Amino acid sequence: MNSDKYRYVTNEIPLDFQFESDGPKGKIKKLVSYTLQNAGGFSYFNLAFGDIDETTGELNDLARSDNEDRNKILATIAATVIEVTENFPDIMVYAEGSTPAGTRLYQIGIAANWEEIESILTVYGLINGKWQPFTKNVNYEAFMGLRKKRNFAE
Amino acid sequence: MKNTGNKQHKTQVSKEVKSHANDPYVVKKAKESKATLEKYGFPEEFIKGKMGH
Repeated sequence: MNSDKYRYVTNEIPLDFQFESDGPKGKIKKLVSYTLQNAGGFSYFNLAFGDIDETTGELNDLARSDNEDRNKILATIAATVIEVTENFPDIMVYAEGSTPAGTRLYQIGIAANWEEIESILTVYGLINGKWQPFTKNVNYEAFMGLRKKRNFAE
Repeated sequence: MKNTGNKQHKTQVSKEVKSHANDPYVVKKAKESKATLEKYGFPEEFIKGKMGH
């Protein structure tokens, strides 16, 4: 991704991506986790994003850190989507915020990084129960992305 | 350090990053996504030629 983003650390799989938000409120551990799911016979990754609770070590989305780095965080999440789909190019990625405001943030993140995202991924948005190709300035309820096939003959 | 692919930068791999797949929040989000997709389905373009039911 060309946007300013955090460097993240992953594990061997790699489906969990950890990074530190760094701003006026200090350093806050963030994590993007992808879990393989199945619906209707089709496999996909579900994206979950949040803070790592320092007490439990678990991921949650309850904290609103407001660390004045929203765009950098969104660009980092987008970078993890691109990396996961590079490693697993045939598996769809589903993303939905925990709240409409959270989903709206994903919308902003996709739109802000659209030039690079659309060169790599096909993205659909869910609106009124129907999937449609992602368009900026439309408020979707969820998102689904899939890596574009490369034409090696070109 | 380990390069996981042809990236713009090397992605660091650490054993300290554990899997959060079983965290309650992650499980809840996964269930919600499954319910949504079983209700509304997937984008047709994505499932063309794939086996489903």
